[in-house]
Amino acid sequence: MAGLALRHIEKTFGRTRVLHDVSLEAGEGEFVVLLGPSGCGKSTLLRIIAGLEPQTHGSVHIGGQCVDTLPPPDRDIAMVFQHYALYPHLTVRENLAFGLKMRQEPKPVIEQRLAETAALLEIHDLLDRKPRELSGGQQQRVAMGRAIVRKPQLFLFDEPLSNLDARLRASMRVELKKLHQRLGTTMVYVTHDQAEAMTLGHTIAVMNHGRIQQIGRPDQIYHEPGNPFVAGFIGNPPMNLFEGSYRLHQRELEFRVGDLTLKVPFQVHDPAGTDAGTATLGVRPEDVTFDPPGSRHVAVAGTIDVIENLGGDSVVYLIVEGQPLVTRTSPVLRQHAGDSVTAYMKKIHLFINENRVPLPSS
Amino acid sequence: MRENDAMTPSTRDHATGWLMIFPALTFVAVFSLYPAMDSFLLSLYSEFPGSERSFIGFGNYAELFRDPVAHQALIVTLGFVLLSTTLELLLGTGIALVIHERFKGRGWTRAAVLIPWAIPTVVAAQMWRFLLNDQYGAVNAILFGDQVDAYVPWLADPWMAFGAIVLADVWKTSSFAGLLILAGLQVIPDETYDAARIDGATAWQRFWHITFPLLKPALLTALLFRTIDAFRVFDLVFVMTQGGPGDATQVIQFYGYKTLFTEGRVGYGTTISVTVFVALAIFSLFYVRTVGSKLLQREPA
Repeated sequence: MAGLALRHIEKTFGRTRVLHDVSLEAGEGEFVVLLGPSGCGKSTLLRIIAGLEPQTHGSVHIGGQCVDTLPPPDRDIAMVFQHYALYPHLTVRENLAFGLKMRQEPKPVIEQRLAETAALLEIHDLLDRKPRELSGGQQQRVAMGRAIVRKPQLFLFDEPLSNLDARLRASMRVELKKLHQRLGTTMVYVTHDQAEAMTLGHTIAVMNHGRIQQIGRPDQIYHEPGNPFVAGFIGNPPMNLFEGSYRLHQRELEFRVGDLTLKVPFQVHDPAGTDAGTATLGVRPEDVTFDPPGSRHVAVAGTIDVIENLGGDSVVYLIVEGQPLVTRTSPVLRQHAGDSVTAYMKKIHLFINENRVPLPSS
Repeated sequence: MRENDAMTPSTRDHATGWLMIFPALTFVAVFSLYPAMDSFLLSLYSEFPGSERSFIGFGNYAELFRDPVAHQALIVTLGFVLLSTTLELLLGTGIALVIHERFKGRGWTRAAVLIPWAIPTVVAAQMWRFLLNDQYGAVNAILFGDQVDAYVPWLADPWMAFGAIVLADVWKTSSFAGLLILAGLQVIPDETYDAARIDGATAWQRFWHITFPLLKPALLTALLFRTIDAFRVFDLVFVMTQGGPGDATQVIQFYGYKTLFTEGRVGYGTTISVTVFVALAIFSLFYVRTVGSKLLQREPA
């Protein structure tokens, strides 16, 4: 039984099409993250699920029921907004109770739900304050409380942590994960922050230009990105991506970009069937090492441009035959800028015609 | 140089500061302060043109306090303030809600709504006088057509004349109130309404529980402007009714004008003006102290 199903959602604003044939399923209790850069249509999709925005085509199913004709309050959802959208003239208590009052729940029920929610989020002390008397983190809690108190079938989060400072964001992320574990309700979470997506999501749907680029578990998205966009969007520092030409040989693939030639020791089945053409080759910074790995690899000689020491590890910017190559190594590197080094690429991603070409794992 | 030295204004800075505000101060002193003070002094004399002025202290004020015509004028004025301000705020809220919505031609509608407000009051008053004329007025023509016998002399009836003044004022300034209220509406974020929709609030509940409370500061600002403005009403009465019929539309400012310029009682006429001035000053101060300070406490959105 699906918690949420989106079937072929299309959305146009005037002549601009912002969503193209978006289909997505979320199981009961699943945490789905819509991840993408700003303007990719993820927030619009969330508003369509909420019923705040009608879709142009396609249908939305919540709890197995088609909700296309239902207004927001009848969809049994709750939403947490980016700017919290607390009612500024009401106290925290009144903010939490607002939805229940509008639904004319009996007073004892409201009182009980309020007490439960306040206990869950530890916001007893804030109940009689106005939103403007709260810190950003406290407002965030109240905004979540307002969603939780209604006990909806589906939670929608629209970049809820993006207005918090980095430290608070990290701790709220953990709390949000705990919250989901305790409530077990289906959640759809919109963000442009890959760390939030990777840590919170059971499933990540990466979006760009109004299309779903890839749907998968976080480790799938990370280890087997389906196209260069997903490959470049996930990971910090981002994956090194080279656009160049390839030629298939007997037991290896030759890839050229500028003056750099890489001989990848894998037998590759060319989906284009031409044995030559243009391709994108990617390698994650953490898959580049300075010690020869035991497995198959591609070695390149370069010079160190800049070293960023992050304490536990360092990010090293290399220049290899005129091409920039970023690596992330641990422990901290002994060499200095200007030194010549040999780097080893352990795992290589290859994309032909924007699609991933599987290479035998090393 | 330490930073503190730079922060503390020196004597020279003070001198420069005074020099900077000197032109503005002069302007205010010559054109506002001096006339106000002189009016007050004038109100302490019993004076007719050509006669000798004699100092009578607060004699004029004592007379005003007992003057039945002044009482009548005050009642007419307060009635006008109450009725026109209420109608203007109601209508202004309606206008603001409409032109806040997104629809085709909203820009033109917004501009069109403001046209009455842009017309000089004297011109608008003259126009209303024509419209309501008992023989060739458009209102009579539209209502009764060829039945000339049925034509109503609108401005000759005490209640209808009063209604006409209120109508002209409401027609002219509702859009101004609407503009102030629109500014208040635009400050309310869309997300707040989205949240209320998801919380299950109906359109009416969203207005009553979200829009109205959040609109209060704008409504109070509009109320202040309109109250002060309505209390000072003069030109509409001057053009449309000259205070008549009888004293039915004689507002306090018009009474002051008539006393001073028609009857030539300079001292007494000035006393009426000064009294209105002081009453409005007290009202404004009270408003700024109570409501205004609350507004300022609000955090910037």
